[in-house]
Amino acid sequence: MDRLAISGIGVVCPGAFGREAWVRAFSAGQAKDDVYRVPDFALEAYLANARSFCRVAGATKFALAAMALAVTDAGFSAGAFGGERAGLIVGITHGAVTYSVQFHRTLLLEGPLAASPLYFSESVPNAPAGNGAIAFRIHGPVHTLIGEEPVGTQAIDFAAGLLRCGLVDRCLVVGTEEWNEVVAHAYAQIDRAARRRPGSGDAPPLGEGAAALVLELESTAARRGATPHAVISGWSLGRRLRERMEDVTAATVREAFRMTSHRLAEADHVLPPTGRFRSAATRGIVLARGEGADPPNWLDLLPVIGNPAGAANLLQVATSAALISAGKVGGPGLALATGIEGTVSVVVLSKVDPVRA
Amino acid sequence: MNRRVAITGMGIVTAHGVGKAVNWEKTIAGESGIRPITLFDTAGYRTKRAGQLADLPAAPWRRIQRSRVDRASNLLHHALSEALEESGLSNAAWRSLLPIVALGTTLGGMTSGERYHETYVRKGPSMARPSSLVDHLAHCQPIHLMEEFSIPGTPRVFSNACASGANAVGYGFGAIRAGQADVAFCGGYDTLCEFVFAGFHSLQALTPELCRPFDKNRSGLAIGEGAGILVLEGWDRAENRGARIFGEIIGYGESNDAFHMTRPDPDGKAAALAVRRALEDAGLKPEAVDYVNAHGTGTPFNDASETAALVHALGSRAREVPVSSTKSMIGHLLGGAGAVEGILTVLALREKWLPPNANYETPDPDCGLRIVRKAERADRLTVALSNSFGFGGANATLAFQAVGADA
Repeated sequence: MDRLAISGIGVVCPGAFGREAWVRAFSAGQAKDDVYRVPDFALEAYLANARSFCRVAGATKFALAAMALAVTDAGFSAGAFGGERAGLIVGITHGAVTYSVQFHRTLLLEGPLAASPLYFSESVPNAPAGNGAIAFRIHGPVHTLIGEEPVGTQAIDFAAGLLRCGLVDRCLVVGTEEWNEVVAHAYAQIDRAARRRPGSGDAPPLGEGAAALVLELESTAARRGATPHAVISGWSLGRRLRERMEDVTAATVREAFRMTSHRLAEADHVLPPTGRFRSAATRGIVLARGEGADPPNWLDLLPVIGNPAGAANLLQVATSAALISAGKVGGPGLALATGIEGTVSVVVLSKVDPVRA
Repeated sequence: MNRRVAITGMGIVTAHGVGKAVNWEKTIAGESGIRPITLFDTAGYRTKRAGQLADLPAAPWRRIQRSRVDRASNLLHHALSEALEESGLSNAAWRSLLPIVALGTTLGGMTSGERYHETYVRKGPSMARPSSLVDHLAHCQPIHLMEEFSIPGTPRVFSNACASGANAVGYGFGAIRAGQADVAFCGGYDTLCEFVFAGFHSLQALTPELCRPFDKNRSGLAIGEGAGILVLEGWDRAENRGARIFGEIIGYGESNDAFHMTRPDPDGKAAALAVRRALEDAGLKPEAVDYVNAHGTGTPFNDASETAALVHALGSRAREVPVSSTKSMIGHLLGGAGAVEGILTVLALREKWLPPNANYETPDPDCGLRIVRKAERADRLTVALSNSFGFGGANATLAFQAVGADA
């Protein structure tokens, strides 16, 4: 089956803007402090029509910059990417929550007539996708999926369906999230409560950022002469119903590898979850590979960018693809994501076969 | 593999009540479910009414702590229970079937989020109870529902504003047709909450009068609440197990305006693309369409733009085909709209009655469609479309066919 090619990568995160800068920053290691925030930036540096988006929320701004970087990286001009044959799938957990908080706070303290319509319309979950469609003139399917950290894999799965059924030729897949003090406070409360229960205690700090990937079928990318950074050769989604998290993880890993031509033992790097159940998921990888297998290279994003929730998974995928493209790792690699409600996802990334490319 | 997709169960909750029987009866009677809001204080708002479900019965949760679930999950529980019961499927079926769950919503359990944030703001962060967030995020409602009904898998939650429900049904339709799942539970939901009400109020999109879609004197929308769930299966499978088949989904189309976050593109061409794609997907020509359940919000912009879209997509047929918007009676259910209106469309095909576009009095020359003023008997009703358009330029159209139409 025609594999999914990652032909463009856009990264906006606390450590870097852009694929190459991110590879350097990630290789340099942990963030200087433990505040995982994207520094302020001018959207004009990335998007020609940025003035139209000067009042968007943080999550949308990150997404637009990441999309622009990915589109350029894939060799498209911003004006040429869109149309009826282009799609856009955005995965989020919270989205533009700062505007929601601002709108609701004004509503509570000053009443309905004081609440700004801007903070409402730009706070809706599909604001990053809607603005992205406008910015890149995408008239094909445009969707926002909501979920836990594994929502990035859902976005890839959805895009794969659109590409394989021939509805679109190219699809932007985006994860984006912004830090917010109410959300950070709520997670801290939940984590404090969770620590009272045995077997839990993972408390990843909330981060922010965005990752965008331009996905095409490998054959489509080859026809336009593009050299993909990596291919997505397999993926799988799971959810714990009554089972142990490590068992669900192991089953999900095996299922993802069944789609590929690789053996699980060949995996040379793993990006562990940035969300809850990190240790259980890690045990799941060991379970799936079998005790005694050579330990893979663990590439942990958490110390560098925190946990940017709905953006985390695609940042993992972008990182693995960028490192494979830069020759820093060989692949196949695994991006493993888990969420507090027991959802799991695995994406397998591989080097581009030079003959096929 | 392209399988025919049968609808074997439907569950619906709106301001008209819980269940298809009451919803259909009141819809055909043209009864209004728009009433004074009691869920929050409307002092300070120009509009005081919405499609609020007056008495939402408590859902019989068994596995999930009832006090922690959001009003949204209760709506969903009722809708799924009705749909499941009719489908004849039970928990035992999941052991041998591959089910998927796809739901659309705009803001999930927003009522819970409002409660948490109000305490956070008024009493201080430490007083806000995290337990009130258990069912807040939009993916939590389907996950809790799946736990309650022991449905395995990972839900897909679409949040494409007012097209969300139709997108979720379209996704389920695609998965069944392609043989990627044996059964799909798909639909949409949203609750009435002050955050959303205030949002549309701030956009001056709410009418303080009657919601009258496509009328020259239309002045805005009425917000509603509710949920709709459809059970989809491959036609052969449904027939083989003797399931009751309510109707068939035969096509789905989607597109994006790429124009403005809140306003539809007035030329309607992108929305027309969604309609055209649904027709192409179903292998139909415009002449085959017998009824359109319009998005029809009642705002000046939407109804004019939707008219333009129908004219682009259906050509001369657009001026002849009966059109109505059921939002005039139950309000705009946002993420629930596409699924609930899809169910009403299937009921129209089954019962051979066209639902009315209530409150329509004065034709608008900019909306020269054949609006259904009062419920009409339509014995030859076979194929119908249901449109859903939303913020962010989202457009979706579902095409339905009556049972026996292919005979």
